[in-house]
Amino acid sequence: MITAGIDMGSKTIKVVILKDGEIIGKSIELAGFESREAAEKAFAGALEAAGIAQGDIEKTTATGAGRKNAPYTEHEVTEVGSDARGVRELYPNARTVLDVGAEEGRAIRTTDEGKVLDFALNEKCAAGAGAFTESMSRALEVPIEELGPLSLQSDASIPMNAQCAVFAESEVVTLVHAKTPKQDIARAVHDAIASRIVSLARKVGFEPDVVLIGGVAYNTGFVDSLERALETKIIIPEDPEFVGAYGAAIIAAEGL
Amino acid sequence: MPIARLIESIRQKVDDPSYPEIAEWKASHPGGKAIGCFPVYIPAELIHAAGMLPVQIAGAMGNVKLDEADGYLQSSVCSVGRSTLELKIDGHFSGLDGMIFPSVCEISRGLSGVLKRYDPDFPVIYIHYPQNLKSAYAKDYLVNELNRLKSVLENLSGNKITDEALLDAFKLYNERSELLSELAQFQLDHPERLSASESYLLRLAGVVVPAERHNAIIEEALKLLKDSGDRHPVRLRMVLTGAFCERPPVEMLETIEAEGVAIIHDDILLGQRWWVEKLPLEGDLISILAENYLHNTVINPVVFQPESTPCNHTLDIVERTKADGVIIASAKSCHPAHHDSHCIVRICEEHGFPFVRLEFEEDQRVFESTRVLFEALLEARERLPIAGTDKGNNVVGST
Repeated sequence: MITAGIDMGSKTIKVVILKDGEIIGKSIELAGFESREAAEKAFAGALEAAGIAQGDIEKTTATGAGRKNAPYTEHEVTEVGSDARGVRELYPNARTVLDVGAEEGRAIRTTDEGKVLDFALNEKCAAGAGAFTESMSRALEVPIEELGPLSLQSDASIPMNAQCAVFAESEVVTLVHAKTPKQDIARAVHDAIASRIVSLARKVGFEPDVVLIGGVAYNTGFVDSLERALETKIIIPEDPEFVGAYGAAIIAAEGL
Repeated sequence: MPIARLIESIRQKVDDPSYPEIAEWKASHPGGKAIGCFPVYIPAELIHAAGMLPVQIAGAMGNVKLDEADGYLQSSVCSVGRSTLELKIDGHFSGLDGMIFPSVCEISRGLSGVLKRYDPDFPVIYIHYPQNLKSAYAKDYLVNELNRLKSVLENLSGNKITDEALLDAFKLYNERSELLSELAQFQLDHPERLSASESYLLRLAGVVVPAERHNAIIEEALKLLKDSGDRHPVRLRMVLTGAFCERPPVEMLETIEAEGVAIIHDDILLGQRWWVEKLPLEGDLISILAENYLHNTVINPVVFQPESTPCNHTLDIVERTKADGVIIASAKSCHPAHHDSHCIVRICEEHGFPFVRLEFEEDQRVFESTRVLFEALLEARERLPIAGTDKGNNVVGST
């Protein structure tokens, strides 16, 4: 059986195609202003990678913030459901899923059987999501992909007091003017995001194994901050930002 | 008129922050005065008996920009506190001849002071309720306080509050209590015919029209409801708690209901349903008011009742109504609601009740995360028993 999962994220759209449970194609596109067109493009990319045609796909499930606008979709599932399902498949021992995307962070606690037990979403707070690292990398004039490795060079702990991404940027500017080393500021930024995600994790009562998914999981500096804050080792899948789409494709196959 | 049309006509009115009904009432009551009542509970019976119009202040519901109020109040003040000040500054309260604030929280206390300083000519009255209801002096204290309020209202209105007028007010508000209880029972028994958002709108009518007309509206609604058919799909029946003071946006409830979640019991506009039993009509009426405040008040987070906390009360309600779970909806920066939310969470966990936590503001306009919260809740319960087979897992969620 061939199924597809499409994750209509706020910044990127991910498509995963499964054949009998195995990933045979995947693709990612920036959502931009025309998310439906971007989704079609991502779909086309995944089909090409899989070497199949649209008509070969039997079922498609959409997830993500823009899932109502997804093309080729029979039914949809929330990010909570698709994340939990995807992680369950990859890591049966996972009990806590942390998903940090561009605009939102969420924590999900699952039972031993993999059922969703509790979840918490951050709301109206860019300071707990990837958009924050992007604005901070601009403020520091450091490419986003270098922000993580840069912060790993720091041993300093500089608290950031601002509760909001906009004010935090002002705080970063102040640190820059105070000639604070860039690596220390980068670490402070990651610690600040981590503290917001930790508060979500504590809200749901996290327990190991903890799996981090979403695009921000590529950021090694953030992962380090999160591990220090949670005092536990975190598992990162190979393609952390595709896990939601992967979960949606599994759900499509299961017909739930 | 079908029930849907009656409810829609109310929706048009409740969003007008200028309280146009005050002018209408004054036109038909020459020389009459209107008194604003800050939530949660003010003895409207006394205001009515003084020949004045009690006006329940219920914020601006996002219809007024909070430009100036934010200059006077810190950002940690709840929305209803900030919008009440903005409405005063913007002149929307020009029909009011005074306002009463109750001792329910620091915001109510602080706001009464801010209003006094902002407009020294505007009568601002503060009523101190006893904090220790068990004290032997609580009743005497409250009788004195109510008598003080009575004489302030008599001076403001120029009318003597007679026993006869107060008795009539008791009867009027008893009638309202009875009608609202009937409405709440209908919401509980027939959520597929009366949603919480509709019930809420029917109650909101009492914010913009006098109690006499409100009673007539509820009476008409109850008649229409008896002949109405099923209009709302119900997948889950939940109890909502924590929204007893600041008005949640109607759209928030509609978002929840659109997912098939019926709110079969709620504490919205709790001040309208303050008495558990009707007020007795014989005896010293001020003493009756005081006595009932001490012993006949609905369980709520702003009156400290050590033996019957809102947490135990929530447990009782869930068990009594056989609800599927609890929605803990606290207004942003509402300290009493947030204080109680922790023990309600604990009680839900102890008893295995599914629950959802969310925060709202009266001027909130986007409910995407609310929608996701309830979609995920239903999904986890109904569609995604991922590795297991039972559907009754105690999923909880929060924003």
